[in-house]
Amino acid sequence: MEVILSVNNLKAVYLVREGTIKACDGVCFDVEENTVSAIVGESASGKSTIIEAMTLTLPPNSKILEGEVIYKGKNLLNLSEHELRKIRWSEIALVPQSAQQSLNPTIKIIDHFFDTIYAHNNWKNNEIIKKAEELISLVRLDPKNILYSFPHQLSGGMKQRVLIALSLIFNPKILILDEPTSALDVLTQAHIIQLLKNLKKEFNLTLIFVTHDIAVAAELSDKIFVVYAGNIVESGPTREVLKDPKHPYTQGLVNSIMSLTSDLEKIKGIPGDPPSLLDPPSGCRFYPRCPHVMEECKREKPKNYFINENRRVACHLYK
Amino acid sequence: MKYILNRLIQVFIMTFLALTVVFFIVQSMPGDPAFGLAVSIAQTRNMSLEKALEIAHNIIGYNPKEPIILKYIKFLKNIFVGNFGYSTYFKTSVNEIIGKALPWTLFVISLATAFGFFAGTTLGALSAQKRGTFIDTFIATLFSIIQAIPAFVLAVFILFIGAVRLRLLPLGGAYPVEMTPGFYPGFILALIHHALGPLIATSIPQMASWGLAMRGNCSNIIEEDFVRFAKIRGLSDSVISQKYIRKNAILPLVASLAIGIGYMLGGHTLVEVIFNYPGIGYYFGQAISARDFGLLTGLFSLIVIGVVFATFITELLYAIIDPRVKAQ
Repeated sequence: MEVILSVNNLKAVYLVREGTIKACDGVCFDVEENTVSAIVGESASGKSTIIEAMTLTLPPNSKILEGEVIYKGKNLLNLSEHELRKIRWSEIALVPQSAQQSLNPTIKIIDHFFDTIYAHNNWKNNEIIKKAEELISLVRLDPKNILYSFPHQLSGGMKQRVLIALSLIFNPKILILDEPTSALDVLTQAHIIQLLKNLKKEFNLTLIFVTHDIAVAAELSDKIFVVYAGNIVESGPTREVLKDPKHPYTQGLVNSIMSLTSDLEKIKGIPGDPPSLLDPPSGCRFYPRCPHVMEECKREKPKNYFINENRRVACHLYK
Repeated sequence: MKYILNRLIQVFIMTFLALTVVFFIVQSMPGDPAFGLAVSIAQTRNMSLEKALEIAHNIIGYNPKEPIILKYIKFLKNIFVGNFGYSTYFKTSVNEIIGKALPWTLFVISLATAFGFFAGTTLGALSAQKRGTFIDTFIATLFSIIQAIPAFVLAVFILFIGAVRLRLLPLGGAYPVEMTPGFYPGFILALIHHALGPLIATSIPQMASWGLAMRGNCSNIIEEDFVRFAKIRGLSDSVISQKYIRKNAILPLVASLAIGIGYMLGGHTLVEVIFNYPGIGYYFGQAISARDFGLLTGLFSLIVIGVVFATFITELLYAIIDPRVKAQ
């Protein structure tokens, strides 16, 4: 399959009073067309930073230090604001985390469609209404009702669906979702996952999504990227990675998953806490918590080692 | 409909309680309105002060021996039928004074509030959106300084510079005495010319306080997720600024707008006294210095009723413009 988006050595930091938070530290990965990629990791590991840096939607107190994001042969990071605005939303759409607060509380849902479409095209009003109705039904909501409601009248799951409907206006190639299922109950989660699966088929979408929920990643994704402290430590086909994790962190993560059938005795957490990204450990950022720590882990940052054609691990064990 | 009815009942109870407080506060004020008159009577006719006081009480129609509870009931009954009492100093009904003075006050404070609100919110939003730049520092500092200056100090300053030094503003009155009131351009110009001083003195502090409030609201809203999401969707800066930031920031301020006008009825006193402008505040000042309890109670009651109704109107207004309140 063809690579549609390629991220190379992306580095981004947040500037705070205490120094710089290195939340995205030399991230490399490729996304193939028409696949679903999951970026997983615990809270504050820099998952969101990666996708926000990729789409240049980071908050103002941040800075992209280096790297490139190649889409259709162009480096997104070098595009002008004008060119970027054209690509963003019409070709690459991003649904942010916090779906609950992402809609303007004082305007109706339909106005969000109007504003978004006006910003890119000059469609006629009835075309916009038709498109909005079509998309709202597509995400299994009642257009007559929803479009003329205000955001506070909708439930959390409904708002998430509205955001997804908004993101599909221009049939984007790539849809990036930040935590699409967190803050929702399990049943609604299942609906959203099913919805995303259907939409992917219907629109030939390439999906990239961020989650802290390994179960959701396993359910939805073809490829998984495991993030720890601003680095991708392991990547590969979801099934293989979860079945046979190589990196000690991924192993810990997989061991800590609870399920109805698992043996409670075998469930283990990872000892210790994630490092502060203000002052991350030298060498491998996981070494203070790693059960297989070696002398060189403390000194040298591990390179990416290929286990096979599809799988990469950043760990000195696999040299 | 039921909501409005409920609110109206509350307004009624609130007005009643507030009027009660007003009445008893004025009644417990020290001093006798007839004292000055009694002293001069006692001196000219060479009689005892007690006797002179009695005569003076009769002259101005004030009876301190009347039981307070009876006075209270009479007062409520009068207010209920729209009679605000009798002014012993001006020897006329308070209604007449209100009829004469209220238009001037409303004229100045509504213009001043309209200008202050419009200029303040516009500059405040601009300041928040240009956070950290020179414009922001300039506006925020200027507004903070203005807000720290009491309105009457500003009024004296404007009067001194405008009327005494530059001789651009009149020294008092609502229009020149030699002019006959009417709807002709010369008179309207003279009206505006006379109102200019109080207008500036009232609108500048208003602008500063609306501006600082708007700046705070906008700074919070700029960081909201829905603004960020609007940027991600590629919306133009002007749409985001108007529809996403300012609209959301201004809503809570509209709520205080009507309340502000209500409070201004009384708060305008010192400015009107300084500019000798014949509004409610001017008569208020007269009533205090003359110990005119009738006028004082009447004007206080007017202000109380004004504030309560302004609050009521604000709530209705807010329910109309904010979809989140409408739903309830």
